[in-house]
Amino acid sequence: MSTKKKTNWWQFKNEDYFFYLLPSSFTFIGVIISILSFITILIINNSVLEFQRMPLINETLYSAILVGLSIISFSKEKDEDERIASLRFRSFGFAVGIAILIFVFQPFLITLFDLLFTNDDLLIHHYDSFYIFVAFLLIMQSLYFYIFKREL
Amino acid sequence: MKNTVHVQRAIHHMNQTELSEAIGVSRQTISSIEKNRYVPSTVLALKIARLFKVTVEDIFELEESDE
Repeated sequence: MSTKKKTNWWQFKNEDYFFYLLPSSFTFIGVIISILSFITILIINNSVLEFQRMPLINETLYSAILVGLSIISFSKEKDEDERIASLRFRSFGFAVGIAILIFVFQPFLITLFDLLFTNDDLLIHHYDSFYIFVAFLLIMQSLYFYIFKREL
Repeated sequence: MKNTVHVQRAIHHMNQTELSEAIGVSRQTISSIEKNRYVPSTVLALKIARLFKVTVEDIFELEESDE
């Protein structure tokens, strides 16, 4: 008779100490996706060609950045153990707090974003605020995770 | 919380890498525990105590700031 204890999906009783994470090799893939998407946005929005008139092009690239950052945040470390899981939880907590603070000031950030990355007049694109919020949350999570790993 | 993991490790002639491999964590985790930067879980504390053949209270001790 099998003595394996049944666990439910919400109990996190798996070897990852977290919900399911991507293999550590995916971190590099996430970095590449994020950087390439960011560079492409810069090129498109400063190009003399009419790329920015193509439907959904900017939104697709914004989403690609978020996908890349998410891959980085949800990839395993090479040495995954309970301390790393604890630091990951802590970094997400800090990131949510910082991202909320940034979101409070997001109208000013969006204006700066429009000045740097778009050729439009200073219009407030409401959909941009979502991307900025999530992107900052994921960037802060990775940053704090790196800091905590070094200091704790 | 303070601990005597490094003392027990010396008694048993183990380095941090050997201890980490014995209980299934990274060497950095052992280093963080010994520097009092990370408080291990109950399971990990019991594993360490069982490895050194002592009780958890022999290794880990509450400080005044913990109470």
